Amino acid sequence: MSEQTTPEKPNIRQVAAIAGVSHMTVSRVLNDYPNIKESTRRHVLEVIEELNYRPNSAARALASQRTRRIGVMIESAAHLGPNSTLRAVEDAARDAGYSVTSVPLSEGGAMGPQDAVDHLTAQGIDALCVVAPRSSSVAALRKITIGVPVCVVKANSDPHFLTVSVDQQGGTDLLVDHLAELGHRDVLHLAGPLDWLDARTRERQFNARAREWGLRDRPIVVGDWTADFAYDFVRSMKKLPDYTAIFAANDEMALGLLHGFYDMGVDVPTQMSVVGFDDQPLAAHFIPPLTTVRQNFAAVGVKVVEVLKAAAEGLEIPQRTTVGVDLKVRASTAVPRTLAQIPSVQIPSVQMPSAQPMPRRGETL
Amino acid sequence: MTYQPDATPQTPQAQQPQQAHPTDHLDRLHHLQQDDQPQQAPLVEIRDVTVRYPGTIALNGVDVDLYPGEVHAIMGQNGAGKSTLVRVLNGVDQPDSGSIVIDGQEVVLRSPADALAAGIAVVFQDIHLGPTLTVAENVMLGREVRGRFGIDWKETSRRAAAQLAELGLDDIDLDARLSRLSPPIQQLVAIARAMVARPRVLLLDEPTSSLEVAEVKRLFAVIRRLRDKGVAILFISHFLEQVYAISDRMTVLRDGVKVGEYLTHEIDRADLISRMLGEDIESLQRLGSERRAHQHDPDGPEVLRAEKLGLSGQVEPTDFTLNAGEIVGFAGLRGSGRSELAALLGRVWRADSGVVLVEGREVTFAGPGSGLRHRMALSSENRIEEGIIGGLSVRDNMLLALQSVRGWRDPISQSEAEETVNWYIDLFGLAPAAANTLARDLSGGSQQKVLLARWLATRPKILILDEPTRGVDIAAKVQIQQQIARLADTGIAVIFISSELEEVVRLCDRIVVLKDREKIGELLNGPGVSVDTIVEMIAAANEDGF
Repeated sequence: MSEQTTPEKPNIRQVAAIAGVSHMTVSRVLNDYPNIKESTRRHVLEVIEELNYRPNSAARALASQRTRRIGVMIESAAHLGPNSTLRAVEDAARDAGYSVTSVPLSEGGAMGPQDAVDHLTAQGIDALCVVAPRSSSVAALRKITIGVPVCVVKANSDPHFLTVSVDQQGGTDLLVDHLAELGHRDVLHLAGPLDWLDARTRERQFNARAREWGLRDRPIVVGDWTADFAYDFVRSMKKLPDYTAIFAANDEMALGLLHGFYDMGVDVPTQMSVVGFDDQPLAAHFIPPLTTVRQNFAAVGVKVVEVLKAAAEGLEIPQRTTVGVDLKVRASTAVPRTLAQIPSVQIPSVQMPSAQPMPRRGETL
Repeated sequence: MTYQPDATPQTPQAQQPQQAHPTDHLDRLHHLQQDDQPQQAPLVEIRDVTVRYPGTIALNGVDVDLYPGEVHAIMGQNGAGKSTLVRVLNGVDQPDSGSIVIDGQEVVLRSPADALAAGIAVVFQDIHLGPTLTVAENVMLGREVRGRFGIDWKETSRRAAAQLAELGLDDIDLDARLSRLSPPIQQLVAIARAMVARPRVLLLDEPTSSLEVAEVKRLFAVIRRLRDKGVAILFISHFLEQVYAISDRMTVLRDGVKVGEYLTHEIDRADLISRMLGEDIESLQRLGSERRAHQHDPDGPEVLRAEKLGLSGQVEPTDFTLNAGEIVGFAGLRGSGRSELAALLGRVWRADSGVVLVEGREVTFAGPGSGLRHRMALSSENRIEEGIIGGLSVRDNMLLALQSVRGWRDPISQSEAEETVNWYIDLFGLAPAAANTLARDLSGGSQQKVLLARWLATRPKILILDEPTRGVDIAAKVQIQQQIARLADTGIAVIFISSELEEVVRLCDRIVVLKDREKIGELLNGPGVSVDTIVEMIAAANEDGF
């Protein structure tokens, strides 16, 4: 807010600055909080009068045609990743003086993109953010006239919309590189549903990076983001597969894999390495703690709000914004069993005393 | 038998409840209002018609009534008698017994000209038009307007334009050469041409088999327009959804016998299919559920391996492995390289890079038969031109590949031949008398089964099937799918190619996705995989710009 310079729209921070108090104090004065010194209260009200500051949001919306509200369409609030992004957008928006109204798109199509846009625009929004979209939703949005800036949280640039995303390709590369550097040459990719743009981007990049490393060309498995799916997948194995590592496209599926392998008596990481994607707070406490890529959801939230706010105010902004990722190497990855078995002659299932923490590629990019 | 015009016929509104079908109600409401006129008599009655072909009865005492302003679909497996019915109405085949009654008068149709004179026009699956003639010339072919100095082209062209406009096709360029138009537009021109003679009955035999969705919609708009003008339409298609979208009434034939007649909105799909099949729908569903389980790496030994196999301009260098007992689908759009890759793997085409190994031994290319010597059989996409030999009997068609593998000096013994042919006739549920029938007299589905039998007779370890179910009705399709699944269970490794992604997802353990002559990905089948998955994979490679 502080960089806002248009004089006809004084804001609470300007009031606070001129009055020499915090904006919280201004807010308390406006909302008639008790326990405020009468002199302070009067001084603040004078400044408000002088600046013609209009705190009432509805009144201000009428005056400026702004609602200071960001609409968020979220594909599925049931999964951790999208939910984290939503929360981050809410936090960043609040810090910037915006409120957020979010609408989940429903799986069955009861609430489609058109309904969601109608619902949000009826309430009045300055900008729209789309979190974790499916290709079908983005395609549908392209056909809808929305009338406010739209920012889609997805990895690839888009001819129609602003995009903000963590560097999905970079994150995928970090994980593939990590596994390949450990010596893995046969890695299974457990993808998310490929109509989700994030799933698709990770799958495509996995494919490309695996090829560059000369990893064994093998079919992927398509999951549904849930731990249940991954758990069932492992439990349906009749034998230990040839591959020595699994790259799950999110932490939840990685968790299901760990659970499945635990039940099957397969040791992670000595017999099978597992990596996830997201770095949910719980990922550090999986057993074993999960090697994954950290999506900086908070940074995405801040960028989304920055971009949308600038766009709503008609400022120049880049079409595409990317946020960096960090590799978090924990205990779910190790040297592949095929290599680890060379020193000891025991077959078939060697219990390595402990997973060797391998040479760690930079924790940050 | 004589027709009594006053006897209460089973008219559409007599059976149809006065409520619209929910999926299509506006259209149907409109249609019902049209029907709400005084009771209509059938325009055409097919009465107890029997047609015998050598060794088989194509139609056996069949009754069908066609009403004006109604689309009547004839449903049945290939070989059920649908095409024979069309041939009878078109005057190509004459019934051995029974009669055809038009407007209450019994007629004898000895030729298509007789049929046309009686007001019956046909549009076939294969478009019989003049490719180098213009649209106008095609529409008016044989009905050009004659003036004092020969054909009055101006007037002919005007009438062609009027004809197209009447069908809502006035955007088609009258002066374009037909060969320059897309097949779907040609199909519409063919219908326009058929309508020039103002027929009261239009027979459409698989008019949509080569059309895309948008084109089918357009064709249907034309059909509805004709129907609303009171034309009686007989419609044959093996696309179930299309039949449900366009037809008002269905007659189901099985093995030349009429199984029943239903109003379209009163019979559900499962019921219809089981009546066409003559068996339970569950066998169809069971096949699907088997493959919905999680798939893992195949258990069987590797039988086929390709390394950097390619042919410039056709297929980028590709790695591929195939294991015993596995069904691997090649999915991609037409032109994606799926058939080309199959031809390279099957050593039907010569590659210019890479190697093919069968059980670890390299298969060098030495003509199209190279694969067979390694017990690798490829059934081509083009069963008419490269597969079935119409002039040979079913028996000879089945034994062709086996004899070729043996070499002509080592003929198959009479008893072995009989045993082999009978085995496959039985396996595929072909008519017992079929062995000596000429292959050209079989339906498409039966031909496909004969072709499959031909390759199976060589006892292949690797079977490459390119579009084995194309142009085949749903029942034959299910039977062929079931056979493929069974073959895989016996350890044969199968490569399965189909344009119908639904079928690939239903049948395959593993799916190779191709696009623009390149393998772009590979999936293990499982509960997370749907047709959508493959479509998205193909779409992603495009828009994400990798």
